[in-house]
Amino acid sequence: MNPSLDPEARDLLRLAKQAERDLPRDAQRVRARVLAAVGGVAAASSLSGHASAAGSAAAKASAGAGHVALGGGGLAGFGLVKVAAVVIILGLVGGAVVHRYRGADAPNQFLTQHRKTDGAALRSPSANVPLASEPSAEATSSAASLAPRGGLGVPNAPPPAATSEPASTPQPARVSTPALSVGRVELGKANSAAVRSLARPAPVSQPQQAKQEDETSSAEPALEPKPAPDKTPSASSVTTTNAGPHSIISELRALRSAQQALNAGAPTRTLVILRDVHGGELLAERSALEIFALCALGQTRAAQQKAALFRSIASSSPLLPRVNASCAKP
Amino acid sequence: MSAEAILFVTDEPKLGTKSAMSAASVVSSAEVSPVGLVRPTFDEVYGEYFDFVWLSLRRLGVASGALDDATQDVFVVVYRKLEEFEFRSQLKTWLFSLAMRVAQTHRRKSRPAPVDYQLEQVPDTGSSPHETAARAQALQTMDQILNGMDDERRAVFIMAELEQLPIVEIAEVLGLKLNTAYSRLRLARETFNAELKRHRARDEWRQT
Repeated sequence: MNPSLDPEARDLLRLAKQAERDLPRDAQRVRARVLAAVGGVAAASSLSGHASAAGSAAAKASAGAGHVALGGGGLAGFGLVKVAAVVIILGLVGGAVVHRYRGADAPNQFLTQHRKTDGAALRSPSANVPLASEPSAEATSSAASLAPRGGLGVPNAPPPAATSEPASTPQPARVSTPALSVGRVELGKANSAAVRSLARPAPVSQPQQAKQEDETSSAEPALEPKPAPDKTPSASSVTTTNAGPHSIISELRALRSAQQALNAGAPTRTLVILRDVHGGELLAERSALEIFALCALGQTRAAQQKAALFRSIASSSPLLPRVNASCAKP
Repeated sequence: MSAEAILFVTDEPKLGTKSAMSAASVVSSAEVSPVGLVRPTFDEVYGEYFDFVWLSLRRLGVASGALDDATQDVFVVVYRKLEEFEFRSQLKTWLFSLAMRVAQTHRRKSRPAPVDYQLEQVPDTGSSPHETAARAQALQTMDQILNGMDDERRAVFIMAELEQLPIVEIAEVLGLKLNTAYSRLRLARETFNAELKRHRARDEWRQT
């Protein structure tokens, strides 16, 4: 007779079957796919009664496709094949054209994409560490994305020729110039994943980027954090570099200076700098800096008032956890 | 025809899956076959046997990433061929034969069949961590042993030991003589016992 399984093997099979029951599976999703698939089958094999009962759009679409594909025969089928081949070729050519066009317009896409994430530009991973400054290309991408979308002028920007890219990249000056002009605007720790991911696809090759950064560094030495006697930047230096009160660039610069002042232990100067900042693009970031500065000064009540305002205007800001963790906790 | 071959007899309730799927019933009402059996609708078959097909495909070596595709393939065939099902065997046996063919195709596409099972895939069902780990370990061991078997023995073993199908039907669905089916089952059991002992010995050696 057949040998039976060992008791140990039976136990193992019993446990394994119990584990199998718990394995995740999605019957409904598979069923939808089956229905979509059999829609075409039904049309082709005269099971239209069943297919129509399904009532799903996918089944109907698939049924139609099956009917078209299988309805013809002989010459008609051959003609369909030729038509399909022509359509595929045209599609490939069209796709290539569109891809090229989109590649040419990548900087604009880049800007548009970042329009949604500008609120995260000041995000810092730590709730306890104040907005830290870092020389990064992330801030570059952030600023690059912000400046042109608003159609704002770029103050003190070097001439386009100095930083423009070769002709292989379309519209280089428009994008790269503002980006690099504020490339060292170390506004907070602009290291959010969104900003970082946006920095990567920048249509600038590494050597070109390095060259541009060098050129930019020489073009705007005023932005370099100099070791001032009190280790804080002066408010006047910020205002003098601002070209327009509503410029996002100037707002970024001011916030950067305010952040540096706060990091250097001069919260009063931070408040002074922020007082002169105009424009509302980065209102949430500005308010957060004010709150941190007030906390550093021990002005808890004022910080709490500011925090209440902050929560009302920026309830979804990535800075909210830090504000809530500060002295202005709700 | 034996009584075992009768499926979906009129007084046999068919779980709750039918009601869940009735909103988009694919096949119209069930039909009564000439021999008095009620032919199940596609929805009924799907609701009743989805798990069976899915698990059978998995046991037959279809990679977890392709399980949904393979299950879909099986039920597409079911949809098309259900009306031709003649009740000569259990519906379950028929489904398993379909699953075998589909699994063979999928395994051929993705050879070697990856052992992609991970303990973390077993969800927490509220039982103790020890029980969960034991079950997951058992499943992993079973998968490894089944993957080591050849296809013929594996199919017989799954049908006989995991699905408790009668050997007569197994022989029929596999197109084997009865003695051949018995022989394969014997060899499959021996293989399973031996592999399990080897597995245990290996585990013990690792722990020492």
